[in-house]
Amino acid sequence: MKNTTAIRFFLIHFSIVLAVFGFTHIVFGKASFSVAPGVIEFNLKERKTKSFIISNSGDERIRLMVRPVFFGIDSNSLKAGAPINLENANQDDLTKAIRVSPKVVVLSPGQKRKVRLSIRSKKKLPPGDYRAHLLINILETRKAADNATTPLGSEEGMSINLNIKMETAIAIYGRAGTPDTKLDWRCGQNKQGIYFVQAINQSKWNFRGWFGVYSPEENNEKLITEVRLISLRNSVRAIPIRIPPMKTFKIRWGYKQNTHDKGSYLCDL
Amino acid sequence: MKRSLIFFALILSAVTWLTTACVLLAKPPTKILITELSALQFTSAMAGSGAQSEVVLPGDAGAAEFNITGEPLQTITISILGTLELTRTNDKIPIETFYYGGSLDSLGIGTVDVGGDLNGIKIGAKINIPANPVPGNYIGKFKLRAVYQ
Repeated sequence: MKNTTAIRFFLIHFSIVLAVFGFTHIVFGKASFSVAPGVIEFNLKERKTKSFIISNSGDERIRLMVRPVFFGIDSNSLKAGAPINLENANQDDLTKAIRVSPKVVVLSPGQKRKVRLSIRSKKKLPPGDYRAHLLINILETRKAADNATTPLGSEEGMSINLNIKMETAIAIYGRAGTPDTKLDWRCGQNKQGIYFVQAINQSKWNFRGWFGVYSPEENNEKLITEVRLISLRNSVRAIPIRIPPMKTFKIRWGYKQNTHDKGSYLCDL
Repeated sequence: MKRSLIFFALILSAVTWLTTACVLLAKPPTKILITELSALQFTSAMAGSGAQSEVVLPGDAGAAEFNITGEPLQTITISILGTLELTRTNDKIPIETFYYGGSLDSLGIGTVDVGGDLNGIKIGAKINIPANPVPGNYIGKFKLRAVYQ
């Protein structure tokens, strides 16, 4: 009897815990999903499986397709500059080595699912950085397709219905070897008077960091602005910068925010 | 016996509370989530006798607005894909271009802030309406693609 009282006491407490914390929050809205993380990095010298999570953040049951894709540096989807050498523009393509499981994910509202990702390259890759993206999109259901094409407006006037679907791509980076990124810089001002800097990356390595624009005083440099920079291997990228009118300024860059310790370049326009 | 069982139940209960609370309060994994706040709207009278262009710039009231929750300090490229036209059975209104603005640069590139937000993404467009357009409902189907760099 005594034991029964104690167990009952415990069960009541446990039920309260479940009732308070175990409640599933349902988001009311249209079909949507979220993916985490947004960037996954691999050391290609190691055989390793990584994973990411897809969550259904909408109020409809959804089917999602996950597939590896390669976006060119100057593609509309990436817009990361332009390749320096067109012949080698796709040499860092990692899509064929990527294995994804599962490729199709069905999620009820509020449900999440882990998707595994591994890289199995048949041949040994030469030193350098490689990349791909995992494109995740909702497979259209018959019901959704019907809804999208059902006229809603009057036949007397004119109305416009835009049916916009969201899709997202997470970045997959693979590194073979020890990086030795070298960046060259050019600076200029376009016809509209907007300043820009060009990051020129002729190496086999990506640069994913930050650069700062500094006033040029030798002993009293002041940071004017800081900009995120993704400079892919074999690419040139122009970045507009918002600075007050000046003839000279200094660029300093580094891998971490507010730490521009990898090099500098003096822009003299 | 009763005391020790109650004590055990209390400890187990406290551990359960703490574990659950820790899981819930722990920093959630960074994610990418796109939320549409307002749709693109062409506001002025369109059915004129002559051909005309209608422009909604990112700074205009009719621009579409989106928020993105993403991985802090990462750069994201936004692009719009699809056939650049609005259709009504056999009638078509071509879309000349889309414009990006708000928290994106003119190419459609933005950086997620330290808190994981890229709010105030604005998208406008320019459409070319032919002379004497056929009245009715015109539909455009597009994809908004968000790509981590």
